[in-house]
Amino acid sequence: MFRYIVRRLIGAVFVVFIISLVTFSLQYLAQHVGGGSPAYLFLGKAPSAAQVKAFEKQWGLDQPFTTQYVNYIKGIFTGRTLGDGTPGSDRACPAPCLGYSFQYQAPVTDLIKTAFPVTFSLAIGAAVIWLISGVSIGVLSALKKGSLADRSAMVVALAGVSLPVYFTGLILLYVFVYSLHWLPPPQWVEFTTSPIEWAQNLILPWITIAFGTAALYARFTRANMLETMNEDYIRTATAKGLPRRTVIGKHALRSALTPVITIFGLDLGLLLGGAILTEKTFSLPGLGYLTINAIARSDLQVVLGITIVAAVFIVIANLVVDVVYGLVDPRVRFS
Amino acid sequence: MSGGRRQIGGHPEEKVDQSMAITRRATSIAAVGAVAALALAACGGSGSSSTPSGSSSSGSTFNGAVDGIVNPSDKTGGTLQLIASGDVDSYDPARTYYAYSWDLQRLFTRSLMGFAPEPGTKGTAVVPDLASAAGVSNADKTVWTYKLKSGLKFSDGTPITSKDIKYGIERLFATDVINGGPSSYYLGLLTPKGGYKGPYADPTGDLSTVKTPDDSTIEFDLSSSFADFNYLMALPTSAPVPKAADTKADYGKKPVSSGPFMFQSYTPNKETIWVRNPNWDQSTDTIRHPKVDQITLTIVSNQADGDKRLLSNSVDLWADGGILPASRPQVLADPTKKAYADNPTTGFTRYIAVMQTVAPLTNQACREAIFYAFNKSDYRKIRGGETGGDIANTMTPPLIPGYDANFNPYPSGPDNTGDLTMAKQKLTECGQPNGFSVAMAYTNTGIGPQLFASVQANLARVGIHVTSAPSDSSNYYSTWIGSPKNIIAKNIGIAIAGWGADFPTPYGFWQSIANGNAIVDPGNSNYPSLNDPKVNGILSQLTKADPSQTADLGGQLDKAVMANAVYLPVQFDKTFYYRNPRLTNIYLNGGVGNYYDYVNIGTNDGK
Repeated sequence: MFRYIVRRLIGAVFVVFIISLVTFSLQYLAQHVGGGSPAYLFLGKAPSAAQVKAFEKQWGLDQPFTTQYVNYIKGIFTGRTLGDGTPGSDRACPAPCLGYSFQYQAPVTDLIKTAFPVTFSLAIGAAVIWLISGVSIGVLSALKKGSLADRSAMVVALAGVSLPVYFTGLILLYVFVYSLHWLPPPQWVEFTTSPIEWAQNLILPWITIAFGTAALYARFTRANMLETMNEDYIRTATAKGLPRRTVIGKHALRSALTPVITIFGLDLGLLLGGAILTEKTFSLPGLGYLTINAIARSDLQVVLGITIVAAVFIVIANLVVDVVYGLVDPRVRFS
Repeated sequence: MSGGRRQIGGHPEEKVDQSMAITRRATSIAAVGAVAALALAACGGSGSSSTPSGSSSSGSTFNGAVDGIVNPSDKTGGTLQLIASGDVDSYDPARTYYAYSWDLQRLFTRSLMGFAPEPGTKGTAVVPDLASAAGVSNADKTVWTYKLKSGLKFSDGTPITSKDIKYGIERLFATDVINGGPSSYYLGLLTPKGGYKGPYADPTGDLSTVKTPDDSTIEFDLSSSFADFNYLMALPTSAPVPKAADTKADYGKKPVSSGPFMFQSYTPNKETIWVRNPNWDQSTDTIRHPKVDQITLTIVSNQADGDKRLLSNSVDLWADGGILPASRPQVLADPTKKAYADNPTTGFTRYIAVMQTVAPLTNQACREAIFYAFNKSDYRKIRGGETGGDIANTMTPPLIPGYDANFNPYPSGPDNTGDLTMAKQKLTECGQPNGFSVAMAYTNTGIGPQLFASVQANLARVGIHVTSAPSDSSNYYSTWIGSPKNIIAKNIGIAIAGWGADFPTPYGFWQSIANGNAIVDPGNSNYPSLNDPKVNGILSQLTKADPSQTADLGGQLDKAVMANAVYLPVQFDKTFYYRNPRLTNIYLNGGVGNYYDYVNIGTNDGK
């Protein structure tokens, strides 16, 4: 098991490395071929060709691809100081240095650190809601298969899966904020400032994300439950006289839920990289909001940094999920 | 979101996207104010020591704040709650170029001069702020001298002296750290013969072209005549910065204040809070008469959400522009809401650049064919209809001195859908009776593709075949149409553009887009590479002109440029604002791009 984890970790590092190389190449190409030099972000007004050249020289953007990439990777582990030593123009970028944003005039890592708690709050709350509601509805639907409750639940689930996030979000805003006035217009409040306001402002974004995902989980769980309930060992347990509660709770649920764990890990990992639509709809300054702004202004260093961070989350989520799966399901052997 | 290219001498349209969300990004500081028909007689003088003078209305009417002060009141107290869809580019006065950011600078920044706290056209006048009087110049306008008022203090209690103003200008020369604002004007006029690298690279050095013989006198020695220097001294770019508090690249996070408000906190992309500055003295300030105790700016990235908050009166104003076109019908249909809406021009002209460097447009008659065949009415519909803009008859927008409402050199038919007969005649004249083919440049987001489709369909009526040459908005103005070489290489015959002046004078509007000496590559704003000696000559005259001559020269300049048929004016942009009914002393100020003058707004409930 330990060897398995180590092997997977090595594989994970390799995958993140490849992703960083590809993303860095795209950013490099965008700068040199696509005319998207950060000079235009930094120098603001349309600069002269000479100014752009001077800028690129100062920040090492005129160096060959391999040099730039190696410096970038080194910076992640040891930190860097950007600039050519001209007094006043040095920019410290401590480890892990994920690049420097010429638009915000700050290391990308700092921007991510500020934005991450927002996305994390969004992801955790939504995840709890969708997991509990999705799985419960799925299990109950499976157990009461064919009933009115089951059919209604699946129709609602279909709606949840089909409706886009920005639509759901706007409807929720309209109903709960502007019509019923049950909630204030959403804005980000830190947990440490006021846990109640933090939750109050996040409840609608949580529901927006959870609605669609819970629907998926409900349908998925229902299908798995139905399949599991038809297994021989379940019939055997029932025949042996075990109470229905034990058969379902102890035996059926465990194997029905293991695939759910897999997708949950991946979904959470993805969400931690930023929920762009939800964050923009509810004015939450998280990673998604940062990403969309960076893309709009071609601040490619920010996009690069966030892509790497998101890749790390997904890769780790993958690994955790696989390990947990192996622990939960004794049929899985680590090979 | 904001962003976009900002250029020397003015502001091109930042994004041709999201319909009127563009005007949120509008970074013009051009002369604006009422459409001529709405101009009211001026009353009162300027510079009074109590609430700003100007015609005022006790009730509120539609467009009431365009040329009058709505709800004048002496009531103090409360918090002004502003929202914006995107954060400012920077709070560092030297590094900001967004128009709405310049308006916010009035809260905490004072310069030698400032825009008069008047509605409409009167707001484009520059009046003394830190200076005791307007700058005195020599005959050829190369040396300007100012004297400071006494009793001026920064928010940290230290006195404001001429040396602080000089230091603010010196910072502009550290272009690798201080950038993003319109520093090119100052660098162009004040760079000494031996060069100057700025106070960071050259701490013992000194900007020799700015002299401070004593703490209350400052003299500028320009390298060429510049009649509009008082306007440059009204921009936040020339604000004083105390050297001891200069945190260089970080200064924008919490600049020291010289105005009635100072920063309490700034969380980027989320919120800014200003509170009153106890070291600001009303007796030294004839521009600002603040009423509220606190001002907050909250970023609401979802514009539909923000409109909802504004229209339900739970916030006070969009700081960075008007409401979405989709929200306008409900305001126009409801008289109680319409009374609190304003629909002014912004000072931006939306136009088509017709390139004289691309065949067959090298022939003027071929260019004029496009002018006559163009469907301005269609274009205007796509850009938001009547509330989005007025059909433009010429390039100079209303109330930049020189604007002539009766000058329409290329009329496009009685309903502005185009004069096809005239267009076909011009085609024959230029030897292309069956039309010709050119590429059209536009930004590939928002309404850009729709505008392209409209132009393509409309010009096809006379056989002009338009192909597409779109580009990303992030490099549209810098390397796409901002590169004369690229225009020729891609056969770009026509390009969508928008322009507003950095300061409301004819020179401020025209220099970068019409002077032959302003052509650069990349980053060019003179897209058609106009180099007409007559135009260049008038611009040169303007740098030495007395204020009494400016309007006349401005009119001549407009006509001279239009005679070249390289700029096809389509519409004068308008914004549609809604203001919270509780606001007092509210008016649109032409000097700051026709946004509301935030620093003077009060609330009638004291909350």
